[in-house]
Amino acid sequence: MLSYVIRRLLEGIPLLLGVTLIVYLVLISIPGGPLAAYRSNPRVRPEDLARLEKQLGLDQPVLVRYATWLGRLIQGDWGYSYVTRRPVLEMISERVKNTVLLMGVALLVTLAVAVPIGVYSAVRQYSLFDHAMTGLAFMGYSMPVFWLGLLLMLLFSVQLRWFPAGGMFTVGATLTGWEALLDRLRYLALPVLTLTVVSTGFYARYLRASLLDVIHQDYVRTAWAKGLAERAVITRHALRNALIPFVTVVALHMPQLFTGAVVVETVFAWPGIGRLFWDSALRFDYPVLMGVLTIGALLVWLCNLLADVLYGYLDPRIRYS
Amino acid sequence: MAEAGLSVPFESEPPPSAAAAVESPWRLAWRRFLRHKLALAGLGVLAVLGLSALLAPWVAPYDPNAIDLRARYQPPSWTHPMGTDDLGRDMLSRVIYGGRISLSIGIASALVAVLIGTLLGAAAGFFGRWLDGVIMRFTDLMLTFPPLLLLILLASLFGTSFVTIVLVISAVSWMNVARLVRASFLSLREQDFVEAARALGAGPVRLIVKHILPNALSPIIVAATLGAASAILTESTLSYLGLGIQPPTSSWGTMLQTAQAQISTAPWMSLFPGLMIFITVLSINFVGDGLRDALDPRKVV
Repeated sequence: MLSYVIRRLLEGIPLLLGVTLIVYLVLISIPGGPLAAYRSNPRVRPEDLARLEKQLGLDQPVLVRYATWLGRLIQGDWGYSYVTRRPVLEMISERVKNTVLLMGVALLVTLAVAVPIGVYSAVRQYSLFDHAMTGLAFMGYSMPVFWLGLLLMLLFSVQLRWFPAGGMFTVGATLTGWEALLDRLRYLALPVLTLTVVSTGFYARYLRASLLDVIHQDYVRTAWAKGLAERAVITRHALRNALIPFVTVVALHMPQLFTGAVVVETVFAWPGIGRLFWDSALRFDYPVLMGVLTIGALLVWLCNLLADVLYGYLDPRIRYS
Repeated sequence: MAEAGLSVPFESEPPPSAAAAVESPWRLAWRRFLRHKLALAGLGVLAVLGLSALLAPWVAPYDPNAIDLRARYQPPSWTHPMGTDDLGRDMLSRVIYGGRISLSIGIASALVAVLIGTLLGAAAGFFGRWLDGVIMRFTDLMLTFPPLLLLILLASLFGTSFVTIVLVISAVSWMNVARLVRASFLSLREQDFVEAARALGAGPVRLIVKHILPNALSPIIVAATLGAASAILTESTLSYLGLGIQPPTSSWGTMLQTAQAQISTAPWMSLFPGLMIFITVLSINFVGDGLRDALDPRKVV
């Protein structure tokens, strides 16, 4: 297993090189080049521009520039924001913890809802409950995330005034201990609810399908034949195996949570990495966009690896060679 | 009639089972599709939406861009069934015209994505060897980028005209089609009928287009249908984020972008455009689901 992980990590190197090369090519194909932001500034004279070009090494061949850029990237120098002039990596790391908080809570709530629904739909296949859940899952896939967010905002913060419409904590309030936690939870409620409604259907359907795959197998029939209660048959025998593909799918979809963050964070003004990305897109702040995109690609790659490793770890029938 | 050449000269009517065997697979699929109630309902809804978008100038009660500042923020009523917006424009007319943009971007993006995916997947699956390696590594590479982030970046870079939006959406959504087509090509190219055609002297283009592709069509059709649904969602997300078609031409997503600021005073501005996206995407997904069942050759009627 260890050698497999090492091999996969090594195989990732060309992939990540490709990713950074594409990111770099996009970066230099920006209309007006990487100095576009300076070029449009009337206070920057042409001779300054030429000096800057030489200083930044822009007069050198593309591949040399890519290598230099990549070297800096590996050393943690991700460039500076055009807008705030601050290091990109610093801006990203500031926001990451907010996104992780939102996504982590959303994932936990989603799983807490989706797993029981998936199990019950599989056990009572074609029941009224199962059909209703199928319908709801379809509606979940078909709904624009931001529109659902707007509707929930309309209901729960405009009409009922239960939860705040946006932000991460009450500005200006000095809260401590439980009150601070409660305040944070109130702000988390709507974004988490939005993400939960959108993705629960998918996870529930997936678990239902993988449980239906195992539920008719011989070993499950044996468990029934031994006279075990339904609860024991389902949870201790069937679910254990059904969870193997499910866990890997959850791992595979973690980057999508990260992407979903862009929309939800924009709707609810949550100061996470998605909102940073969107703000930067509107201001054409390319170094920040590239930084977030690179991190996103890294995350996708790591989650793919995690999914494969988990699959092999949980299922002894799978052998990696 | 096919029975005319049979060796039994006096046979008058073929037995019913023989008639069913003669029926083409597409007619069979259509019959199976007709049984799928939700898919039929979806098709009906789409027909209505498509027609109203096509005939927008005759269907819409008002000019979608006519500003009437005396009639701003009117709630839904008989004169304005979906209310009016911040400039007093009739929401129903705007929703009908917005459907033109949203539907055409969705369909065009899905078609372009399927075209790219089919070309690359067919080339990789048919020719194999190094070409397969190059194409599939590139596909993996594109799948490594989180799609929405790549989309926002490309849209902010290349601007927001109809053509660029279609190209940007299809640039991030062809990969699954490519994988799908490659997989069917890999298994189909080894089949006897392909070998026979090759022996008769068919070149690669003829083999691909005439012999293999028709047999790989079902999953492509399903992917194109579901792709249109997700392209409509994607377009609406881009527009909501301010990176879509620019005003005054509004897609449903663009209308939602301006609506959020007025959510407490004019909620109908948020409600109706989103509802249209939701209904459209849901209908397409139902149709896609019906097509998947209908085109599955393992299913027997």
